[in-house]
Amino acid sequence: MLIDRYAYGNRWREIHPVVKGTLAGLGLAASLAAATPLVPLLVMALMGGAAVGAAGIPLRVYLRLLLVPAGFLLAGVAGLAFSCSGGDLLIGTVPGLQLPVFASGAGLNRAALVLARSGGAVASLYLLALTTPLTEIVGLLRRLKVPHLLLELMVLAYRQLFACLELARDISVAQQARLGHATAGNRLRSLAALGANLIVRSQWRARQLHRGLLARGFEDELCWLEPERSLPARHLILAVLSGGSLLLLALLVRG
Amino acid sequence: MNAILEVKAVDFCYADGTPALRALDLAFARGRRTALLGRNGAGKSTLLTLLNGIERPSRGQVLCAGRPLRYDRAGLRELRRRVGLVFQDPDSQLFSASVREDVSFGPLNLGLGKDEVRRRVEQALATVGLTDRAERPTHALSYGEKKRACLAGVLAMDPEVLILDEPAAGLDPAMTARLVPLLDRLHDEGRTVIVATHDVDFAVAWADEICVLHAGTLAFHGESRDHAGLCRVLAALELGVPVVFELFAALQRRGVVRGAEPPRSRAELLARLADPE
Repeated sequence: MLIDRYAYGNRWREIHPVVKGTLAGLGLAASLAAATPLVPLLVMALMGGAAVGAAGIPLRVYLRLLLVPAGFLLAGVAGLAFSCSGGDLLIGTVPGLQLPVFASGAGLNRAALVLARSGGAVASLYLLALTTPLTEIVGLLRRLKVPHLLLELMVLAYRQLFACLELARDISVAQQARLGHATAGNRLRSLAALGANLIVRSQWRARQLHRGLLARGFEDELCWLEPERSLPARHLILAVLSGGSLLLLALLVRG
Repeated sequence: MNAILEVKAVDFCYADGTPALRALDLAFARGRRTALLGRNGAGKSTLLTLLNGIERPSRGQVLCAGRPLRYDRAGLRELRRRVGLVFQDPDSQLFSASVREDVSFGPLNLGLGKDEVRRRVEQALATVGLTDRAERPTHALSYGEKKRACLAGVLAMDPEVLILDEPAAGLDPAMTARLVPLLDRLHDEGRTVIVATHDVDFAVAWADEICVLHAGTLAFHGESRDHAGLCRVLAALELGVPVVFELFAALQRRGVVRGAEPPRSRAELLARLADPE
């Protein structure tokens, strides 16, 4: 869990989550409000620069993490850029189907805008996710009055994700030790057994966890203390100024 | 005897009908250190969850300070304030993302103010030696650290009775060695401490009283000084006789050490060997 590791160990760790949340939120708003790719590109540069330059996330790690959403994005915008039902320029046919593929200036522009907007939004959220542990993000969401039930689910899912991964790893190692991965057939069977066991064990684990919570006086609400961080006005002003100016720019530059 | 916790004629069956405890009568004395021994499946963990009100007996009664447990919300809250249970598997207890948050869960449930909760959390973390790990995510802790975090989570609730299920299981020797002084310190602060364990050497060295469960019934309950009675039961149930007792008996036969009372720990035996008087 790469993101988690950096969230706990980066140079922006001690910066108040409200500051990081403000910056990321304004970046997100600016990207979504933009009418041209210019502002989202600026947002990407600012957020990427902050994550890599200021918070100290290694550039290689950052780019690798960007690959995941980039894959989804490229697949998504391909549909916008190219069309099979007509356009300015015929660029080829789908082999074997006799399906023509067209590109159009308008389509390419739309695709570029969507790509840039999404990139800016992803970079904004990555800045928050890579510099702020989940617990503090939850604290931030609580200030924003997100329903408690949702936050509890986030925390439990987060914790159980690691417990489940650990369990899956253990089972898989135990299967390998008994030649469970020796042939393709074995691998498939092992995978099926792993899945089935994970479900049963997760249910068992959930029950155990519930007992553990009851033992410490759980009634109907999960509660915990949040870490206290100082909130220097300087940081907040800087975040509002930089994010705000981008948002302003996005609202002013209308194509 | 002044019993803080007591089970009277308790039967407990699992949902599938398997009996775990049968007509069990047992009282835990206030302010004492009690070790609970027994083979796997003897009913130790089940008994502990009954004492904390997690499970209810199928028949019979559980009493805290002489009063039968009430299983309504207020009754359970009061019970869990007084009786803290630390589970064997730390993953059934840790739910929160960071150590400090997890430890704050219990005291917040007691309805304490934030400042008091903060004070208790820091104190509990210091007691188990996890202050420098407080900000870590719980999944990044070692097994021993997880176990200590669980203990801190219960200590922060400041219970009069502290119940630990296999606190040393899975710990390395250094951590196990540190556990005894820690438990003693918690006991010296006036707590009743009950520990379920498989480690008979630990039990005789640490406990004032020993209970041995076998197949859901009480096979032995007495002072840990009562080595003759205890050894008979331990041998019969194949739980293993404490090493110091065996060594002492052998050395006594050869006339190397004197005295009728066997030492309770390896350190005590070595001290007696070094200074026979």
